[in-house]
Amino acid sequence: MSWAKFNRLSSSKDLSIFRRGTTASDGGGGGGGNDPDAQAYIDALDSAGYTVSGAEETAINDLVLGLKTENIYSASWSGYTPGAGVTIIDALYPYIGSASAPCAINLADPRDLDAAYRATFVGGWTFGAGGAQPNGINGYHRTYLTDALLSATTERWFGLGSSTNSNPGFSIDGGKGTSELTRMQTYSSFRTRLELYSSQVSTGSSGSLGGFLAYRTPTGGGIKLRKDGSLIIDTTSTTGTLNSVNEYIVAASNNTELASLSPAFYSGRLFSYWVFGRNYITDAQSINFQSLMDAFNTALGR
Amino acid sequence: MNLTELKASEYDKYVGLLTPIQKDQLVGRQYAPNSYFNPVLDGNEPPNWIISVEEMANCVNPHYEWVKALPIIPWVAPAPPEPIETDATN
Repeated sequence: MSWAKFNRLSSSKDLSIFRRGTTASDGGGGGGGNDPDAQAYIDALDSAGYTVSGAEETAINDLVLGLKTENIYSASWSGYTPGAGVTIIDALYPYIGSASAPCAINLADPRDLDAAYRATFVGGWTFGAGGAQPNGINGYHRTYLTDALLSATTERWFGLGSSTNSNPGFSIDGGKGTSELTRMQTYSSFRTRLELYSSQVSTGSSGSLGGFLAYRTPTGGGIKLRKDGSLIIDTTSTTGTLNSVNEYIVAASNNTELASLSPAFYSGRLFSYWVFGRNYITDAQSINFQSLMDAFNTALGR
Repeated sequence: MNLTELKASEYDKYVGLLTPIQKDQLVGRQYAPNSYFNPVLDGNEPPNWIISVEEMANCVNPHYEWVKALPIIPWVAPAPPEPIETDATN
């Protein structure tokens, strides 16, 4: 239970009876027409002490509906092996709520559990309308996307939205691997790099601001990185898999520290979201995902 | 200098100085909901254990209110790691 919820329930006056009803059982009639998964996330934000505005509620609902339309959100897509029943998104952190407790909630599974990849923030962070920003000194985000909870061999995809460049010095936006190291870096020389187990692939001047998404398509080929929907890296290599387990983000470990899973080398960027998925997505899905996140951020004034 | 004298815009330039005993007391402890202390070594020689000003300012855990009174020192970043290039090559 979050501290905010604890404080509310332990107060002499529990105001939760005045909350908007969201289910038939509490008189809300099922969430006023919102998608049930969007409503679950909205309710989780409320339980974490943040009251969602009308504009935010609309943006959240539109995002979830869009992800479902694109067959990204849920396990409903059967367009490729392994077919229906696969998980596409493990975690999507939209960083809504201007405080740590609501920003920790995973839109794809808003339960307050490590197994739902509810985040914890470690070190110094600032939360606001624009998202969540680590301090570049000792702040990182723990996802609980660990070997214990995920297969280490499943193909993955991941991405982020960032609106600031770290200054001065480099920034590392990535995760850790076990036997493999796969991470994405966008750093201050306006270049972006995918660092794979056995190779590194960098862009030229790609610019530092925007949305980045690393993935592999179901039809094979190399690992790709898109920035704002445009392809900026295609490894062309068909070897290896994009299967990093991203327990720590906005910090990364060097090779020697991977074994101890210790985060280090902290980013100071402002992030509007992070996303982690599994299995493959198509080029069209990757582009449409970016469009949905762009529309979501625009709706929130980010 | 103390915490109350710092502006938010200066938070990334200063840190709170810890003793080794204080560092051990904070590791793995929560300072706010879903937020944990992260004592790290700075780039001084010899290095100091420090926490960030954000952790000090945002601490609402009554067990660790004492962090708000930690001495404030300038932040000295550790040396950059080897595997990461920051130049225009690669």
